[in-house]
Amino acid sequence: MKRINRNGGNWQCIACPTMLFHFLFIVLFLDVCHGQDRMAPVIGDRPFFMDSVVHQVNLYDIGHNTAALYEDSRTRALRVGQFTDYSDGDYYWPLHAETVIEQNYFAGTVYPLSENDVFKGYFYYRRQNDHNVQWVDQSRWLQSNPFLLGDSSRGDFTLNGIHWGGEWARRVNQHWLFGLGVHYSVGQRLKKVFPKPLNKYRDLNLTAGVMYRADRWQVGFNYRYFNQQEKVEISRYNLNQDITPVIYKFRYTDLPEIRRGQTSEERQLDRIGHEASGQWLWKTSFVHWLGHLRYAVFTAGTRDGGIQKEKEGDWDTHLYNAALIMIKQTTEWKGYLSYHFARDAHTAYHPLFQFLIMEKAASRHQFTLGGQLNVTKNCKLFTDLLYWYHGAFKEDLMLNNFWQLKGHGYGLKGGMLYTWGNRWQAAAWMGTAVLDNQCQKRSENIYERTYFNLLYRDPLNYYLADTQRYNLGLQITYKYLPVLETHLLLSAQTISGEEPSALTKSRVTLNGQVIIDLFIF
Amino acid sequence: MRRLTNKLVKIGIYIVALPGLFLFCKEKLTQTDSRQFTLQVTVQDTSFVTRSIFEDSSHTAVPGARVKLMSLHHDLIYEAVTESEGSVWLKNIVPGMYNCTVTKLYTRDTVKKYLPLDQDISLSASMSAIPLEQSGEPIRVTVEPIFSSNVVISEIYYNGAPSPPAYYFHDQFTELYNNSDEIIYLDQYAIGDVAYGYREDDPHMLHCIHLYQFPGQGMDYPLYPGEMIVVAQDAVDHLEYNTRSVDLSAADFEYYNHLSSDIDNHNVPNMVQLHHKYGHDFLYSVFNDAVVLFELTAADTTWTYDSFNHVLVPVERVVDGVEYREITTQYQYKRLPDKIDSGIGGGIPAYKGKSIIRKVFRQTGSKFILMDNNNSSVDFKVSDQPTPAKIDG
Repeated sequence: MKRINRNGGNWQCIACPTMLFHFLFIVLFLDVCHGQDRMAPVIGDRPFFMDSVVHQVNLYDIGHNTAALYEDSRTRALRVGQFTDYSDGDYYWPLHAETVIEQNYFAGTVYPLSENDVFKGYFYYRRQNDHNVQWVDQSRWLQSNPFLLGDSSRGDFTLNGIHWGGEWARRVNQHWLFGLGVHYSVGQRLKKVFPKPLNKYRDLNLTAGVMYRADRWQVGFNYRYFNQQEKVEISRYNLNQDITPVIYKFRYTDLPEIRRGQTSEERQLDRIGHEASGQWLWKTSFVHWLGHLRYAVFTAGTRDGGIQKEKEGDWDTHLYNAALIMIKQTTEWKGYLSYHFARDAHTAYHPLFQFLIMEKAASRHQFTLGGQLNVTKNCKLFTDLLYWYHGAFKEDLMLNNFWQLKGHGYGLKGGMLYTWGNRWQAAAWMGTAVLDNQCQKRSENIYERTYFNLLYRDPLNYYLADTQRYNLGLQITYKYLPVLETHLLLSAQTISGEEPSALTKSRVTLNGQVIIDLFIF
Repeated sequence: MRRLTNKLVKIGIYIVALPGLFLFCKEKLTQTDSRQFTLQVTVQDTSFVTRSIFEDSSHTAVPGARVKLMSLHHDLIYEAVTESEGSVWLKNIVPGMYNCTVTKLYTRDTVKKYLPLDQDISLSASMSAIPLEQSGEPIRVTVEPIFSSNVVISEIYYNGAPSPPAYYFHDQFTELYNNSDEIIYLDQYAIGDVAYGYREDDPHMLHCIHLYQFPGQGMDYPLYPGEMIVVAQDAVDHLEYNTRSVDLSAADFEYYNHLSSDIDNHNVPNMVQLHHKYGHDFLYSVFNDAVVLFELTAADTTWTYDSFNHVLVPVERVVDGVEYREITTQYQYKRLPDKIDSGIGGGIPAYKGKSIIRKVFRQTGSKFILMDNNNSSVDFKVSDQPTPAKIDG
């Protein structure tokens, strides 16, 4: 059970090193802060086993169980880096940005405080430019929150934010571990065009985890508390008759109140969430099983400020996740079979009468089969085959608007990893995926107006688009152990979608990363 | 081999088991929980009018009344006419806050037949910001007879002209119309605008920011049936200053604030300033205001004021009043009592060069009778351009 740190020092490791690599795990990525479109396929950009090139995926990553922090591979490393995402194209969700440029600079470390304590700390600075954003002044939960504030301008946003966090895990004895964590984000996003709404957010996330470990199995439980807030302020109002914008206060999905010439508007959204997740690992002599269950509930309330305060509505989110993964390994090859389930459900309530006015839900079942073949000592090949199907519906109980769709998709990924000596390593991968959606039911448009189309027709067309995506990537790693390890990653993805109107749209995403691990402790 | 088979069977069970737990979670649209509902509205008149017309002292139901529900939050209007028992069912009502107006007109011919009166009688009622939800009770509306004013405000141009130049509001005017068959002398009439905040606290008085009276000694300014006059803020040709404005050089009267450097067209009689709280001129707000026409008495020579320097005018002096707002659903900010104006006119963004004009109720020969239900939501409409001294028939 001893493991040699890359820095050369000895430290106690909870899991044996081979096990860490055996149970590589694709995390069903769930952005609990921003919600997620369940109809989009959840696929990493590289094959499953290839993900381990950078990430040591383990029980810590499965449910982010803080108690499993010991399994983080970057212990005693000071990791610094930067990554840039560029995304552009006309295929995007209607109220999102047409072009997004995001840059993150970060530094972090995982450091053992003692034989039984380990600490992780990190700091991010985030800068994001959203170009050509239409109407909505809020930036988050746009696809599920029907209580939005927007204005008639179209323009660019600039976001500046920081994100920091710390975690601490302690081993009580050979079997029991627990951990605590705190994560904090704050930032502001300013629209550059009149009336220059200022969007601020502040998120606090507290987590506590416990884990029990036996010889052939592990089980963990993690609880997470979310306290999230977003505020939009429109205060730089000018009553100049030619540039006074129209302010739209969306209550429900499609019924905006229109304000003109007011002196200020303010919208605050408070969202409280609780998440419980369990993870387990079971080793048999034949295969190893990994499992994950997760449930999260969020309750959000919307309040208005400004000179004309009005009660806005509440909306809830329920997230469900489950995963079962079977992994088999021999010296020549590795293989896995996985099933993932995800469902998110959103409900909105009338601000005055408090009854249900909107329901939206989506579910996805995904099956993946993949493997790794060790061709030579230095060369490995990877491949994944994915299939998923999903269903979704949305129903507005006020105006009786509704739609329901189903679809399925499949994807294929392949990659190669090559190592030169002890210093250089190169990985290349590519993949493709196809998504086919069909509308089963939908109501006729009640309003034929621009705002209504933006909130009802256009999103539905986006969801109904049959999409095809291609991606490729290259990662070069240079190791100068025991001092440093550097990674340079470049990847690209294109997605094209054919909407029901036979209009084809596309989007290109480019990503570049530089990561440096300094083993200086 | 047997061992391997057992393992494969176990694996198969596991693979099937977990997905099986979630496969039932198919998304299904129910469409059974619609919040829309059916609402019953019952209209009754407890006054002498309906009893007399139906020749039944216990008859209160008002058949043939037009019920209009206007959503404050949705772009929805429901309209229907009551049936013989005075009730109507409105279907597919979306829950929310509503304004409700009810109007019923007994024409002059009908009135003459049953009552010793020779005029139209309108029954009217309005209810503001009623919460209607699925479990809503039937609405009972009691209408009251409205006797049309002899002189009505037929047009208000408060909106301001489009740029350039910006903020051009000097071309505002008010148009008055003689809706009766008699000659009206304007000498005792006055125009004021009413401050917000006293509707409930002081229901018997209107708190006026400005109050200007027509000149004359009693019979100097007659207004003949079917005639109209224009009171301008500044009686000049505003087209010289703003090409998208209006020519008011032929206005009949103008407001003149002698305490400032206000423009004074000497060819146009000035209104007499009784009270002027603030401003370079008698400016109507381009956003929201309430303009009221008063008929003063000889006793109205001394005035009282509130602590905010508003002059107080008794409600019984009101001849006509019109309230307008940029957002016509904001009943919480109403200034005038329902019996003066139970609605809100306007709904125009500022500086669009539009005006609000009173609708024509009917035409008798060459004379128009304008609609006067004391409800500017019903009685007024928006005109794309101001039409001083013209009736849009």
